[in-house]
Amino acid sequence: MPPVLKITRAVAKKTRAALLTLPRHRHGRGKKCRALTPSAERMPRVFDNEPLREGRPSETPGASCGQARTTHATRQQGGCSAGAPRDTRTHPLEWDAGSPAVAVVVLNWKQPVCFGAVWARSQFRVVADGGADRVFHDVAASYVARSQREGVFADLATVRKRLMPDLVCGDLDSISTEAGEFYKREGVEGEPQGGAQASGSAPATREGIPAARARPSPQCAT
Amino acid sequence: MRDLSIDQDTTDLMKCLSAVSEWVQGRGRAVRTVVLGAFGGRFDHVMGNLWALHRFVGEDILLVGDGNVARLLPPGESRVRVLRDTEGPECGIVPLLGRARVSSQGLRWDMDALELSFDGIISTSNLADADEVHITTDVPVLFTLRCALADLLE
Repeated sequence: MPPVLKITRAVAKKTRAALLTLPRHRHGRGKKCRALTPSAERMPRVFDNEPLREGRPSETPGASCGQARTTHATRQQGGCSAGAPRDTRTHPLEWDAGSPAVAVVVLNWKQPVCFGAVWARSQFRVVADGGADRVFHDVAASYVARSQREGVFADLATVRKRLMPDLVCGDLDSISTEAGEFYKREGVEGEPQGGAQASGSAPATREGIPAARARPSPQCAT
Repeated sequence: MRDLSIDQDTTDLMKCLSAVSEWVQGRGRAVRTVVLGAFGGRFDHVMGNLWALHRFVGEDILLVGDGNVARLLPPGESRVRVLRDTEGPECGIVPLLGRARVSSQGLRWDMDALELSFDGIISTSNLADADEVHITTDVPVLFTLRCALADLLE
């Protein structure tokens, strides 16, 4: 039985501190990255030394993939096949070496205290449009304030570079120019999917905006 | 950055979940998606988030925000672990798809094949008394839990 690490308030606090004291996330500056096939270079290395490491799967993409998939296959056979109960006992906010991979989606609203722990644990980080500003402004500012209280004194630019998403995704009508340009400059890019339907035919419309009125975004230059 | 503004039939969350699905395809399906900032603020957006859950039934998606975590339980039996030092006991089972016949174990007010619906009764203001709650339903139902780790960042 691998050790199970619960995210308690103390662990969440340690993770936040770890985020502030780790080496810089290596994104190729100005380099265009393929969003859906995160290379070793794009995989976050900032968390290599973090205190949560003990209970986490290897971050080496190739290794963790194979290992994790085997574990999941076993788990799925037992837990998710037809008729068997779905097993959610391994909680998303609690993980061990055999837990599934985690992807995080950050929406455009106030972020919870478990942000740092979930972000650090995640292997694929997506921010939804204005969610980029939540990370860029709110979360970064919160970490800077906390670092000052804890005597680490990280500056905003450093914290922002350690909170780098893999993908900024959405209508891109809410993201601020400042955040948009920052992430673009840091190499957070995808391949624009102009005409793609997100998930086939959707029955409802959001805010009733017809497609013809869709605004082109200043961030969609490529 | 991925500009999907031409598609106005889906929300940003759905576009993100689709992007996660694409990412998942190379790794099997055993990926948990944690959605942060899913509650509070505009109620139409919150409802949009719940709608997105129903478009990805069977996926392991957890909505987190403003003191709550919520997930959609697919038809069949689900076992939900409650991290009692940070989660619960307040919880709710909400049938957003109309009528659901629900049985449960581990709640203060357990149900035995009880029909939940908005024009009948729903199970809000319930309490999770056990470390592990078992819920069986015939149609997807929303399970919400109070969670201190989902409280807002200062």
